[in-house]
Amino acid sequence: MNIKVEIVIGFLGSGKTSFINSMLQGEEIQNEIIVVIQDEFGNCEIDSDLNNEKQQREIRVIKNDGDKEINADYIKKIIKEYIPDRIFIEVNGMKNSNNIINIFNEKSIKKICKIDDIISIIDVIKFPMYFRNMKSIVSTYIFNSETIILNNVHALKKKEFSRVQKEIKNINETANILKHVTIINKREPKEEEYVELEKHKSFLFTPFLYLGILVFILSYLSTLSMVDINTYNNYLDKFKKFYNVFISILIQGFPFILIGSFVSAIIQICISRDRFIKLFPKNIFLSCIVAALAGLLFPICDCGTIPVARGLMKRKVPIAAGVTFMLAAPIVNPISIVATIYAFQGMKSVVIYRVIAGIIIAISVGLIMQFCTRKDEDILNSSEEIGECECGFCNDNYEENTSKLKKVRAVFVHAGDEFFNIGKFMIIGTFLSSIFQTTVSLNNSMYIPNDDRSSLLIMIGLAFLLSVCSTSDAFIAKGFLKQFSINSVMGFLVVGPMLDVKNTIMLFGSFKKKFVLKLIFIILLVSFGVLINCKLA
Amino acid sequence: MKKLNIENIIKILILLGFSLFYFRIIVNNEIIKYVHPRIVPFVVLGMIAMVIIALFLIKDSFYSKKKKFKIKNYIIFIIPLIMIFFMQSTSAESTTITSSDINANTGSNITSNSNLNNVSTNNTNQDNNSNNGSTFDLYGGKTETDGQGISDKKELDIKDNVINVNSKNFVFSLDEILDNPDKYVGREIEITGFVYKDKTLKENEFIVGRFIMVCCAADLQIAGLGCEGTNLEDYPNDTWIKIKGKIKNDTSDGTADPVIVVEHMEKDLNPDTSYVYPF
Repeated sequence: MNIKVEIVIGFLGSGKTSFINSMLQGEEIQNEIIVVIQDEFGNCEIDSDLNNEKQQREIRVIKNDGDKEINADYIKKIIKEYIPDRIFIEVNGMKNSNNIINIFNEKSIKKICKIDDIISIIDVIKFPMYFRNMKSIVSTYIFNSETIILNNVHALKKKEFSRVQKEIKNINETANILKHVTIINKREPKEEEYVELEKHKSFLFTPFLYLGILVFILSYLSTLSMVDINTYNNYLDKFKKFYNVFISILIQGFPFILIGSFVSAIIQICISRDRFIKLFPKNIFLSCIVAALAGLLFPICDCGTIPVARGLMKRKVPIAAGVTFMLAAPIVNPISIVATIYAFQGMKSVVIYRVIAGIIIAISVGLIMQFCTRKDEDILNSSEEIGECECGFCNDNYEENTSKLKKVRAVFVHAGDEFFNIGKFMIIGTFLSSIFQTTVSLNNSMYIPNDDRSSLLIMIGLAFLLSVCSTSDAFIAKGFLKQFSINSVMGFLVVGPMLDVKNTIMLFGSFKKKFVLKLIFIILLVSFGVLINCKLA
Repeated sequence: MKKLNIENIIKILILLGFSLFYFRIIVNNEIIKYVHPRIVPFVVLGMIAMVIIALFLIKDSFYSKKKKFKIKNYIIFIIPLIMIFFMQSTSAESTTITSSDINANTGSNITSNSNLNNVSTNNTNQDNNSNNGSTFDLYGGKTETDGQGISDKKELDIKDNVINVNSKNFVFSLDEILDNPDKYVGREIEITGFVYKDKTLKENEFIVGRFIMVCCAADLQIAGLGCEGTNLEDYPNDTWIKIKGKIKNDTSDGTADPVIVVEHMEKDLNPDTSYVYPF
């Protein structure tokens, strides 16, 4: 026997009870014994008169007066007492929805009942206020729910409504979102309906689109092989070239992303927030310098720094320090310094200049970002993680004395999450940059401006498009020395590690759009300003 | 009733897929075709980490809190995996085709690579039509040669007054010779590599080179020494050769560039085609 459990979550007055009432009237659940557990009392009462209708069904309403906690034993007792077919549990949004859901993951309970649906009821008018003030609570239950009902939609302007909708989508993309509509009908003045907002067409459509493209390419190649061996070989060669570049960047990028993810996971789990803040000096400027030099200790290149910076910012390290670390680490990392020394043998000034300019730009961009960003502004793109963690480590006030194994496990699971989060953007970025690397052809006949400014811009643009790893770009840059002045090649060396296609896509994936746009703009502005003024003989 | 957490299972499959691929290329040592040996320890580390993450995820995969999940996120990870397995199978096929095909195949493959990595003139020059008249400034051709290399202690491999250059000491020898062109004038040299010709070189000139890798296959470049020889028609691009010759200084464009005057040249039938790594 499987008892279906419906969990209805929402704040006081969001319309939970009305929703349950309308569910109880539904055709679907006739002839069932139903138990409604109310964890709180609102203005609305369950229509118990539904009991008296001709159908053979029974509705029991249990009010939990607050002194008893809903737990596994409690549920078992109810099941024993009433032998229901279906249980509705009405939960106040202020309670931790994870606890309730976890009850039904316990073995003894799992045998007899299963969660049929988790429904959140949201009053769209109050939503922005709740979301601002109790973000973690709200996002937890939105994240957990499979169906989201929006109430009071008509009272909101279209623009605001779409913003709310976007906010919800951000947290939980897979849930069905329904809105509550009152149909004004003359006979029955209050017929209510819940209308699905958006069918998940895209949910099925996009993977098919990707697969379709893939199948198309494969079939294209195979038909070519039938038709003409030569053209086929030609295409295959091009593809192989692309494949080689793409796969090799992935092979060497994944380990670095993993290292970055582990560092970020360890920061999150093993170091408590207070202790961590102490590591950074109080003075913002000093902490920036620390952050810039921290790159010396982490031999990771540009792919690995983004997860670390994300982890730092999650731990509420000042933005300035986080940004500085993210920008400076690829340049000051030991491997890339050695590579630069090697590529520019006998031109020590290039190496020194690269490191110093890198640090200066990183720090100033960090400081500018700090002052440009409001204190409470939310810069992380926190779509996935919120609410997902039951590990207890993600809360700020976790207990220190949890077992070692649990900690290690949490580190690995978090690193895995981070890896999947960042990895997908890294793959897209790599894909694009390998296309650029295999197709962009630079003829020597290309127009090469004599003007310092425009050639610097060209170099910066090339660095952006090619997105070579910071450990090897010195060798590529050396090739440009023939056509460009050393000053503009500097642009390639300094801006390349901070900003490129791969990086940008990863940034957009992990930070808010506004923040990234601002960051890119400031990086370009500052580095252009610094580089144009420094003359290297 | 146990319900599998599909999302977790896909994650596990992706992680295992990648670590399997890593494992495979590490075992057949194919990995040095893709990345610099310096990165290999990181790759091993990454492989182990992925397996461990997958193991930890297995524990969670027997119940699911959510019915639906976004497959979109994972399609992106699956695409490279599909590409890998597709390419691995085709490259296996190409070796099983008839022997005449192999030549054509590998030849064209290398060509495409060398096109991509035109000697340090320009690393992304795909079509190779560099029109400037200057001779090749090969990798390591320093603009300032103050002799301050990082490897002063090493010595060239000189036997019976012949400088021996193979894949092991290729980069160092190249640096040393290019750095001190005057010191080695008139010395005999033996070198293996492949033929690289393009339009900027004269009829009787070619470059004996090897691919050098700094970080990964994305930055492969050709490094080599300029040579002068005869009967070059017999040696098309990308043939592996053994050369014996004397070093001379070519001062035609103002700077001194060491060039090998070929005395003896033969095809290397069993070449050591491995890439070379500068550090």
